[in-house]
Amino acid sequence: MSRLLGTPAIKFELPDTENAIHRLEDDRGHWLLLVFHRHLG
Amino acid sequence: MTQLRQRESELTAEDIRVKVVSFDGDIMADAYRSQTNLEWPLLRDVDRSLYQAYGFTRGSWWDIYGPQSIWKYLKLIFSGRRPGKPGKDWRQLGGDVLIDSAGIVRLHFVSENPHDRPSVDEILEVAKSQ
Repeated sequence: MSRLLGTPAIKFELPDTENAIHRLEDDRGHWLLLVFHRHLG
Repeated sequence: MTQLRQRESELTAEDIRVKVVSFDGDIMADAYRSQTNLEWPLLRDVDRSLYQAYGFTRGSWWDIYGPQSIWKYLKLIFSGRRPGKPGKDWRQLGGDVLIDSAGIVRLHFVSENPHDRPSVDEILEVAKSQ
């Protein structure tokens, strides 16, 4: 079992393809699924 | 990703927002969005700091091109599709993180090969069980 289960999610601040900044806090109050892609080829 | 997109309405019903994270650069990301008509945000983690923080590592040659992968690629080809060209780093593996409404990690899935992902049912089950 992952040691991260049940712990606070890691904060992030990342741009999207439109250069809008996304932060973990933006989705507080909702569930969030982060899908980490391999490569986009 | 295809399965997730096909069942987007079920995710929405559970108030699950989806964001896709990639380490590829602008050109690849823009091309991917337009080719796939992806409507979810595509976040760029070019230095892979978030990948590393969540333990998404680079696989070995065997992880990437082992028997399971060869079988999946063959099925893809015989179904009339073509595997995409490798991007910047063909050894980087992915994974999934499901975070609840209070910001707590409820699912942390680290892929062991390119085709190793949690099922949509598994994701929904975690959300419904909380």
